[in-house]
Order: sequence, then structure tokens, then C-alpha cells
Amino acid sequence: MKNIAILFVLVGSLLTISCNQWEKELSLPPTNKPTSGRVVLMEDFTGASCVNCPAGTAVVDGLLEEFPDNLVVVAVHSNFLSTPAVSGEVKLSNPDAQAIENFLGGWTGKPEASINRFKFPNKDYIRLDKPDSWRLFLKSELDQKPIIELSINRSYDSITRNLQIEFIATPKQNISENLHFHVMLTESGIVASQKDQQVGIISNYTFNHVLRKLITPVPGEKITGPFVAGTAINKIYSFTVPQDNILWQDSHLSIVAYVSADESSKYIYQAAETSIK
Amino acid sequence: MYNKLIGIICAFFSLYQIDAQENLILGGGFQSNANIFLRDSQIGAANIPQYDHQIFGGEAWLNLNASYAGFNGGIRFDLFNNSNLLNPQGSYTDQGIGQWYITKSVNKLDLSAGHIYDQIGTGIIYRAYEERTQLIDNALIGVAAKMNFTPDWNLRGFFGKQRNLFSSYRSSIKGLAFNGFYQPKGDSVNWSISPGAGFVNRTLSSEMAEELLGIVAGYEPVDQFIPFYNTNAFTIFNTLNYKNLSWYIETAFKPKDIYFDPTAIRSLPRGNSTLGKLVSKEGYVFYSSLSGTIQSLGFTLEAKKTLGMDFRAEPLLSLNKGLINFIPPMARINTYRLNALYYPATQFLSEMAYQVDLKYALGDHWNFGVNYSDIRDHSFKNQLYNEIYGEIIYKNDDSWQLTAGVQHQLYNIAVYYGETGEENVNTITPFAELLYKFNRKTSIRVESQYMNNKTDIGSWLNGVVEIGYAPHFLFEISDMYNTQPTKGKKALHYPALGIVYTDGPTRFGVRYVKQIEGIVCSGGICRLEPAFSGIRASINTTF
Repeated sequence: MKNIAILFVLVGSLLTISCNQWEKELSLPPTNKPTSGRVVLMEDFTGASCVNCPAGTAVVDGLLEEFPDNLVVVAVHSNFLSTPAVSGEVKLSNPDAQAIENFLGGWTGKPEASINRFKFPNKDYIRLDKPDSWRLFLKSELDQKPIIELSINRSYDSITRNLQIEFIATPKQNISENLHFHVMLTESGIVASQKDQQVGIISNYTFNHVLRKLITPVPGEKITGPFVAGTAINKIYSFTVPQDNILWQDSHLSIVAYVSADESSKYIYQAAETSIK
Repeated sequence: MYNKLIGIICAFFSLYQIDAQENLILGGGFQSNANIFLRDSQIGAANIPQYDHQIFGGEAWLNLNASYAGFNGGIRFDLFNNSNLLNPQGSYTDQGIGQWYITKSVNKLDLSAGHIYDQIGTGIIYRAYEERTQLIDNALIGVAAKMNFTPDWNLRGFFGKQRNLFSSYRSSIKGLAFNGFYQPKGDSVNWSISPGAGFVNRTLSSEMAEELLGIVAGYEPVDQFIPFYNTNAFTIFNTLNYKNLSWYIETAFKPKDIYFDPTAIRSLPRGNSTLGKLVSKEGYVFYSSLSGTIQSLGFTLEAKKTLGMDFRAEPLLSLNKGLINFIPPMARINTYRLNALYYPATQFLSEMAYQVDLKYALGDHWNFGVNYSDIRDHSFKNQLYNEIYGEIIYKNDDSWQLTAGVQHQLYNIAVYYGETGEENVNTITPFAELLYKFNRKTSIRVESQYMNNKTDIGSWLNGVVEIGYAPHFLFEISDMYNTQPTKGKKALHYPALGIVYTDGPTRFGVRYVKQIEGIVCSGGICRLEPAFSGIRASINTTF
């Protein structure tokens, strides 16, 4: 019996030496700026009554600062935890936001983000939790060269509030499958209250990139392939911006456009953004 | 692969026909839940696929165990069809072999392969177990060997990967555990000890390590650290039995591990900051319990201190996913519906708690029970939970029994639900239960609770009537009513109506249920536990 005890103590002593000293030390990868020309769409699923969401939005803001030319953000205020933080204040959820949530499928909670609507390996859903992991997945998309170039031309009449949007997609390689064009409007600079884990309620929180209107259907407008490299595809969309005292401020509205794969995938090839004025 | 496996197991069973001298023992069980979702947007039973268009969802488990010629084996088929068990907001459909195992003893050596359930001590550094109501099944897919040096002293080792539904997580887990028992010889000896110790190592896959490197590289330099592959955890424990007393003590330690800390401040560009980041820190748990009887008094005292003991198969997992360890809860498990509404989930990162449970029997008819639990953060400054529970049971021979009592709870909703800014929930919940037996076959059970609560979801009244007609039938009707709603909500009824039919080992139940929704924010994310409206049917049997 004594021998067994001695053996166990010896083995235990050996094991208490941290394995960290036994393994080869890793090193952090360099943080290079993307050179691929890829512009990624990131949908931030958030809500005014979601106490953890300001933390997610802060991460998104940091990513926009790091990749200003390669990232387009849409804040999707779907129904869950999107009631105003203070009763009577502006409601940012809308049926289009909920329709996107339904379209993307499974989710666990908020904050979550989709990145190019790609279901990454080993992830349960398109939507990703853990905001501090979003940069990793964003980087992997930014490293991919775009197969389509995208640009937006627009004209806006401030009096009639009529908006004309020209969507121009130019394949960089031959594409045999169908594509889907998507156009939406987002609004920034909306000031309202936001619940927060640290301070309870932030009274003058500024909501940016809030999805206001989907101009194309939720799955996008189907454009039948094949497509030849270098031959541009044009589509024109129009929308009359509603009048409202708080929302629909035309100086704060942006057009977000993106092109996605055929019906079998929701994957987004390229995104673009411009203000309406 | 599964086809091959089934073939091997079938071949194993077929040995029975070859050699009828050996006894083949077969057994198993079947469990199935079937839900019909009936949309009721008034209570929030809406906006998930099951209510919107799927209407039906369910789960089933069928397991078969066999014992033959010193071999033990088993296989379990799992089925999920539009199930909301994995994710209450989602719909999960999959099926396959959920578990298989073979064990064999060779002299003093016990061998196991397949899906292995096990735990070291109370599970603080390692517990592989199944909890179907929460779809927790973190079996080790691997092998284990246990050497029984004597009937009382053994050493076991295991290695493999943790199960993740029908696949596995991206890490390997291995461990050693030692258990013993010692009691001096002699008729007058009144003490014994059961010492033990354990070690667990988790090695991340290269892919997982790359993922962590990519995340940490995106942090500001002040938050960066170099991720690593290996994490160890150690525990040492002992039970001392002396006369009618039993004292258990366990100390577990985890040197540096990478885990997500939702309360850690992460720096952002331009001097901003936010909450939640990966950290590389040590962790520990001290746990002790003392239980015993002194004449008619039975008591249990428990205490626990936890810091940074979140130990998972992959550092980015949250909620119930990928847990390698299990930390004993430090609050009473209440059974009455309103008494159980606010339950303090174990805090893996920071908790200090103690619990006292007393039971006293007075004569043949009276029983008294008192429970007190107090849970705070690691510093013991911030109150998370406090419960005072008292009950009196009067048993009148075999004909009737009355239970009555009261419970007071203080519940830190900011910590457990993530409802920052909301004041602590303070409830006072009196309750009563009467069980009356008309004769040997027929009985009635009536229970009721009233929860007085001025915060969160307000005050509620719950009533249940159960009529039992042995040995086959149990009828149930209940209603939960929001007597004083808060936050502009309507006062609504949440009724349930059900019947259970029992035939030997088989139990069949069907219930019409409306159940309130809730939101749980944990680990930095908020998860909706949707209201339920619909019909639930279940079958349980063993054979």
C-alpha cells in the first residue's frame, strides 16, 4: 500500500509541472492590412434592450476603424430584445430586420454577427457569438480575393425624397451560377436609450448602421447566369424615403448593396456602401 | 463507420446462439418526447420555426445493453426531429448512434472503450455525464482502464475526445484518478477514510490554437497573451467517516487556462473599452461538506469557494457546451413550481457560498426541515443569492400527509439574467401540499404556492391537483396566474392539463401546457427561453 502511495505522489509531482513549459511556444500572427480588395458585409444582430449588445457594437466599431475600406456593417434590430430601453422611445426593430433573422436561420442570442452570411467550419450557425472572435472570421474573409466588383451610383431628390440606385456588378471571372442582388437602406446617428451591462441604461446612445428598409426581397433579386468576366451587370432600383420627425433623416441614410450566391447558398461575394446624398 | 460498429455489436450478440452455456443478459430503455407547438403570441409562444411552420418537434433515445461472458456492451440511438432542446430558439434535426461502449474485466483490470461516463471526486475537474433535459451529453469518446490493486484501492486512466452531439470537440482529454478506502481492523473501530486524487489534461487541436491566436492578435497589446495547447487540472479529496458523521473535502487547482471571461475589460482603439475577452488565468475550487445525524436531527453543511474554474473542451464555448467539469451547486433543489422559478446557476468564474440543511423528526408524525443558502461572489462582498426555506410535514398514519412552509429568496437578476440596473428579486413564497389517500388505490394531491414579488415578472399564484388511481392512472390539472403583473404586462393564466398512464416499467404521459418565457444572460450572451404553448407527450420504459 505504501508503494502505491509513493508512486502516486511521484506521478502527481511530475504532472504538477505545467505542460506550458513542455510545449513549443506559439507566436501571434502579424496584423497585416488586407490587400485583396474584398469588401465584407457584417450584420450585427443587436437590440436596445440587450444589455450585452453595446459590447458587441464596440467591437464592430473597432473593426470599422481597423478596416475602413473593407467592411460594411448593418445593425439588424430583429425583435428579440429590441423593445425600446425606455418606454415610448423610438422603436428600431422592423419587419425587414426580423425577416433577415428568419432567413439566416439558427441563432442563440445577442449580440451575434454574421460575416458574409458564411457558415464557418465547426460553427453551428451562420450567426456567430463571442464578439471578440468576429475579427478572426472577418480576417479570413478579407483574405479571399473578390470574384465580383461592385459599385453603386445614386441620385437623390431632397424635395420629392425620391432615390434612384444603380447597382453595377462586374464579374472578375466567368460565373456559371445565378446571382442575387441585394439593396437596403441603413441609418446612423439615431439617438435613444440603450440597456447596458455595466451602467444599466445609457441615455444618449447613438445607434449607427441601423437597417431601415430592404429594397430587394429578403433572398435578393435573382439574376440568371452565366456571367462573363469583365461584362458589367446593371440594375436600377428606386425608393421614396418616408418623412418622419426622428427616423428617415436623409443626411444619415446610406445605401448598402451586396451580391450573393445562388439559391443553394446565402454566401455574399462582395458588398458596397455609399450615403444617399 | 457506424455500420461497421453495428456489425461488430451484432456479431458480439450472436455469440449467444453459438454457445448457449453462457448467459446473455439483455436490457435497455426507451424515452421519447413529442411536442405539438400551438402558437400563442400573447404569451410569447411564437417566432420560432416550430410555432411558425413546423408544428411538431421531438426527441427519442433507444438504448440496448448486453452482458455476455464477462463482456458488457451497449448502443444507443438518438433522434432529434425539429427539436428545441439544443437551442430553445432553433430547430435541430439529426439522428445517429449517440452512444456505444464495450467493457471487459481481465483479472484486476477493467477496460472500457466507446462513449464513457465518469467523474473524479465531485466532478470539479472532470465529469462526463448525460442530462437529457438540457441536452448535456459530454461523454468521453475514448478508452479507459482501471487497475484494482485491492478491492479498496484503484487507479484509473482515460483518454479521448469529448462528444459534441454526433461528432466531437477539437481537443483531446486525458486523465488519471486514484481512489482508496481505509478502515483499521477491529470491532471497536468507528472511523474510515476514502482518499482520492485526480489529474486531467486538455490539449487543443492545432486548428483551435490557430483560432485563438487569430483572436488574441486582434486585441490591443495590453490584452494580448500567447495562447498554448495544454491545460492541466488537479484535485485531491477525502471522505472521513466517524460514527454518524461524514466529512468530505476537495481542493482542485487549474494552472493557467485560456477561457472567455465576460466580465474582463477589453481595451479598444482610441482608449475605449468593452466587456468580455479571452484571458489566460489560474483557477481553483475549495469544497467541503459535513453531514450526519444526532439522534433525530439530520444535518448537512456545505461550503465552496470558486475562482476562474471554467474548464471546457474548447475555450470559445459557452452556456452548457463542452464543459469538462462540474461544480456542485450550493442551493436547495426546489420541486414546487414557484419555489423553483429563480434558480442560481453555478458561477464558474467567481463564487463563494455556503448552505445549511437541517431535518428534525419529532415522534412518528412530525418532520421539520430548514434550509439556508447564501451565495456571493469570490470576494464575499456582492450578494448573488440568498434563500431561507422552512417546511413542516405532518403525516397522519397512512391516510393523509400535509406539508406547509415558506421560502424567502433574494436573487441577483443582474448576474443570473444579465438584467443590469434591475433591482434584486425579493420573493416570499408560502406553499402547502396535501396528500390524501381515499383507499389503497385512489389518492389526491393538492399543492399551491403564492410568490409575492414586486420586481421582474411580478407576483404569481400556482395550484395543482393530481388524482392518482393506482396502479395505472394519474390525472393532473394546474394553473399558474400572474396576480400582480409588472412592466405593463397583462395578467394571464398558464394552465396545464395532463394524464399519465403507467403499466409496469412503462410510463406514458400527455399534457396540454402553457409555460412562461424567460431570458437568461450568461457568459456575455442573452438567450431566450421561449414560452411554451402546446401538447407534450412522452413515453418512458425500460426492458
